[in-house]
Amino acid sequence: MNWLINSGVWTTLINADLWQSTLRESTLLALPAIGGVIAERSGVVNIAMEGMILTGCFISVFISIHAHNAAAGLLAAIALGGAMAAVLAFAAVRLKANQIIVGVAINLVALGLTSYLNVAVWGQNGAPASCAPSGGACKSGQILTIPDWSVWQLNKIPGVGQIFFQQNPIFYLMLLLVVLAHVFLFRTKIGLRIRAVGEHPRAADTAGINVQALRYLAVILSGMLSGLAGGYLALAVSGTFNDNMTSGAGFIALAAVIFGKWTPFGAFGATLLFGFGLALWHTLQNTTGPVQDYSTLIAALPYVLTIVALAGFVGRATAPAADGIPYDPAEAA
Amino acid sequence: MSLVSVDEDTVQRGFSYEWASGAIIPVTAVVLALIIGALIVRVSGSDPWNAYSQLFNGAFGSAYNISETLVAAIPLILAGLSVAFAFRAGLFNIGAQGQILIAALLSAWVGYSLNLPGVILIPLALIAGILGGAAAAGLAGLLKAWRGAHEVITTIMMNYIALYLSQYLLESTPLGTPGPMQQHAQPGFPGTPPLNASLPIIVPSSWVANGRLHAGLIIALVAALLFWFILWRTTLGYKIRAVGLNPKAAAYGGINVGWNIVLAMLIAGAFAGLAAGVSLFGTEHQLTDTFLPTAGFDAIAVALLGRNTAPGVILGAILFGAFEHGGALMQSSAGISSHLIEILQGLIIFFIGADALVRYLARHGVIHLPRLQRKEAVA
Amino acid sequence: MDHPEITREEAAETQLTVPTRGTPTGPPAIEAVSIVKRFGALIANNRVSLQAFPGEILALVGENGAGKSTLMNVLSGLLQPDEGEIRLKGQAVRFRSPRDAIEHGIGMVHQHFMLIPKLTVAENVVLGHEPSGVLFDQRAARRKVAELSEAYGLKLDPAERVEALSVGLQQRVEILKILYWGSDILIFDEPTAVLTPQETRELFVVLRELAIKGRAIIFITHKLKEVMAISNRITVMRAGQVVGHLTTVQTSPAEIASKMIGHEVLPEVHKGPAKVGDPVLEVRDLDVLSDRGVPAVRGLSLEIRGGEIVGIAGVEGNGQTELVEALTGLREAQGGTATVNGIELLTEFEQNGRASRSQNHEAGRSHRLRGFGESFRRLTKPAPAYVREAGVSYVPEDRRERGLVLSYSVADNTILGIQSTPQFSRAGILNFGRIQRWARTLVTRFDVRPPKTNVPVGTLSGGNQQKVVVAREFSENPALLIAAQPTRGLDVGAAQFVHERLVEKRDQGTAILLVSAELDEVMALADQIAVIYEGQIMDVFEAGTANEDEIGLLMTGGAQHTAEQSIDLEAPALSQGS
Repeated sequence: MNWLINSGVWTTLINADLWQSTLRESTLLALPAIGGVIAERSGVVNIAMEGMILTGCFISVFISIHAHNAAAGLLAAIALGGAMAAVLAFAAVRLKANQIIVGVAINLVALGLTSYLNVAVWGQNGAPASCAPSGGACKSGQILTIPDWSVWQLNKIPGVGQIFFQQNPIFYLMLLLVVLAHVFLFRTKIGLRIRAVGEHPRAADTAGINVQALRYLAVILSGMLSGLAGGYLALAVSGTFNDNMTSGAGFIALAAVIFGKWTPFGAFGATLLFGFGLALWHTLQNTTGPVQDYSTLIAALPYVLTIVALAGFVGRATAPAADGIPYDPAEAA
Repeated sequence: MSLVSVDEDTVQRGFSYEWASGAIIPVTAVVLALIIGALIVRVSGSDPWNAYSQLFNGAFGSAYNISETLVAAIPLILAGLSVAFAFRAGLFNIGAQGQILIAALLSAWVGYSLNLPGVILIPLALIAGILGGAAAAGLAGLLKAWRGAHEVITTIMMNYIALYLSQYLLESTPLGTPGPMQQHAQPGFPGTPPLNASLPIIVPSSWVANGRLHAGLIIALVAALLFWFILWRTTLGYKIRAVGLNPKAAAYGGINVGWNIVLAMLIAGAFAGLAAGVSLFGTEHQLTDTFLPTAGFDAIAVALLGRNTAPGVILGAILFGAFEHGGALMQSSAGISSHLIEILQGLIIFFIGADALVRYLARHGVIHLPRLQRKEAVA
Repeated sequence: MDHPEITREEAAETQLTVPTRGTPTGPPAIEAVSIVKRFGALIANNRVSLQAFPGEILALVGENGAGKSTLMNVLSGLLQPDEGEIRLKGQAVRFRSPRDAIEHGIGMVHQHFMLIPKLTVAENVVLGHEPSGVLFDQRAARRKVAELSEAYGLKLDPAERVEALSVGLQQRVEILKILYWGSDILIFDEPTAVLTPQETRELFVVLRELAIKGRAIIFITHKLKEVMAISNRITVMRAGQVVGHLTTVQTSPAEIASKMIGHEVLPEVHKGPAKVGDPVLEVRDLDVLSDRGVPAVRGLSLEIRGGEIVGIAGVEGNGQTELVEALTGLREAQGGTATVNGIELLTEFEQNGRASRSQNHEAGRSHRLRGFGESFRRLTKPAPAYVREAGVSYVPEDRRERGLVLSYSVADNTILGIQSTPQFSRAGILNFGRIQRWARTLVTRFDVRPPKTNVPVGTLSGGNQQKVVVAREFSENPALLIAAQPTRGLDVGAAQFVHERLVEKRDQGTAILLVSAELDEVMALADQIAVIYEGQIMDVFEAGTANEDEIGLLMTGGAQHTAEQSIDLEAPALSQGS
């Protein structure tokens, strides 16, 4: 028991900041993860979510400045994410290209383009300062951000209040989207058809379902969600744009999809776990005790867990049967 | 059915392809990428001609520049061979970056810990790097062959694990305690102590003043020869290529698909490890946290451009070395961010991946494709 | 379509052996008119025409590759015909997609089920035509499925996941699906291929009832017993063309079989008497499951001696494929043994799930696990390698998928499987000189055209590709040579060539197992003819002691069938052993 306290582990764990941060991190991961679930359920692997998030970051900042409106920035991010996903869908579904190669390509283009434009638009110093619209008048040329909400009085509850009721509106949106995604996939007609398409596209085809259209839809949705995540990261979390600011969030989201066994709630749960890992790392930077020295190693934990999950050591998870395979009706059955 | 439980579907889901013969698709992809890159430059208010001419100048404009381009190409050749070798087995080695890092850690550790003459130390360190890279890649191969874990995600994860591992080892903790491999001489600087040997420069200073072209180039070329030899002259290569092209026929012929997947990844990892070692002892002379930041990803483009052949990879690596060095110069003299290079790389990969687009152009007479070979069965 | 409702019981009671309808009146429910469909150079359907009328069952028969499935895929909208048209009730229609066809009343039950394993019965049935609304009304779907299930006597639990159902029940889901769509024209592609006799009986009751209720049913099969039992009329296809329309009551299985198999002009194969040696291959009580989990080979026993050709005659789908795969290490066996000169070939799973080889105590050699070294070697050497080492060569029936690496050169393909032998490599390094010489010898001896060893084998014609495979497998001096459909897709000249090489091999003392769907080929080549039916050897004849008709009948199930005989598929002849 003493060791627990002296090493700094205990003080870290009871810190409400840690848990609040966990939920914040997991929002960033859960949005693209939901998208990834939908896309893979339809049979398309969206490796490019990383790039779509990053693009969302950039465009949301850009529009936020020029339209002097944070919500507009968010919408722009969603739209652009969807557009990029449409390109991926076109290559994957229509051209029957290898989804992973094309996804990697899109990530690279997004990385390069956003970094390039960062300099081209704002010069060497990058994006300008941010300003929360509610905190007084914002000068033009500043990034309008989306500040956290403090839910009326509830946030005053010690501990729990800070964790659950002092969060960004997008966090609450994310929770809603998790539920909606679940309903969408498992309770609607379209969701049923999407799942069919991802398991056995030929069977769906013979039943009269438009395989191509559904795959487009699923992939574009995943792109929109990734774009939203980008807007969140830029406007709500960091308040600005930096090169490669996603640093792998899109890939962790993919891992969460697998970890969560291709369900929205499962993926959300996985992002909580991964978010905890990330939050822990940040918090450990400020904690005293020997634990701090290993903070970097602990940050690697989510990735180790993913490999463990993939290797099937946490129970066999099976992907949608047609995941990643282009569908060609003319091929012999 | 087979004694190593590789599901044939799992293997076929990786891709195995044999593109049209000739360099048409890669060349077209590069040209298309350059065109789109030019558009981007124009739209953002600069002059594409200026950008590209500075790029070219920076890459090939002087003896020094050529030498630097080649220096940049050296690790790309080796990393490209790594990715290409895996492709030949039907596997996607996105993890070259992580393999490079792990190899670099091992190699550097040998390099600064042991005080031996370079003639002994360097081969020892290179071997350490090779083993490290091979182990990392081999693990991914094993997971794929044994548990069906898709190598794309496992290797991406390993990239991040390697990244954090190297940060842990090289960076000081927030309190200022140096990392286990961090040098004490310069507190706060995330790097190992300097290495105790370095590869000789192979270009005389009368040709190139301050030239940095080191013996790593020879090693890289020898590695390319080895790549070709293994794949095309040995039974192992025969088996690996068969597994990549038609796992069913390979199994019928008594070839153990799963085992050859593991072997292929081991070799791929070895090439990546060599890339790390050669760079450490050739150009960097110590391991810092900015070591070869993008080589693993460039390698994907290089392998695709080179169509997974040794000469192709060499040419592709030189092209990307040109991009890298020329890009730095383009940035400093034309003021165009070298991030343009990343954009070009992504576009190139995209057009190669979506090669159907290129075929479409061929069908409609825009470009000319030589007679296509039939594709192997891809489920 | 307006028929009085007959209950299921009544239908069964009346013992309708052959639905006794007179000449059909009115236009056919569906008609294919001169359909042409090409896949590259292959003409899968060559001016095919057929008609199906409401209230009757039309059987479409033909061998594998005859073009039946392609035609049905055209009729169901999955594929577009290159020429010709489809008429429904006399009106020409064009189906742009499966949905089109479904909306016109066509429902197809495919040979490989079009079901989503992870979804429930109800979800699979209503997929694509779900009860309306945005949300998926699970309860309404289940109710509808339960109603249908009740109405047609196809008992199913709507909430069950399809993957948990037996194959017979899965097929019921498929049938329910097309009934749910309201299809008038029902197409069944080899529905009984995966059913037990009991399930087949039940299926036939359902089919009869559907016919009585006015549906037009097209039933694809190659099992002639069933054709005689269930159909009104028969259309026979061979090699992409229609070769005959028959009326069931007026024909016999023999006549149908002869149209299906055809009398190709096979050039003479000069064959002297066999010089037979000791037994090489001994198979006892072999049990093998098919992919579907249904027993494909049941207690099969067979013996082949050196210097003789044993031909397995049988319609495809009676276990030949599984038999060969078990013998060549590509499939596990569930029981029995198969040895070549005493060496066990089979891979079986022990109870604890690890693969092993059963021991053959009588013979001298066996492959018992010997410590870590042996089990490590096992890890790196899969079953087909062991089989090859035991002296077995195999010409597979799908050369493109299995027998060749199409992108490899001809020379590369000639060493597939033997690339590590000392003849071609030393210390892992290939000896190109020797490989080229070997390849050139083979190419010359087996008349591969063009006689170039360095072109990708995928650029050769089918016949020449097969010659490469044959050349390779024959030249490995096996003790046992297995040849599965060795002349499929070959022109007459190439086929003759292969036959001559087979006889040559036999004369050199090799034991040869020939599996072929072409009865003529088996009769011309084999010294012993073993007829396989439903996984068992029905009988073994010396060549020349049985004529084609007798063998043909055995191939299709046994005793003579007349039109009046009711379906009774529990034929007592199908007992254990051979």
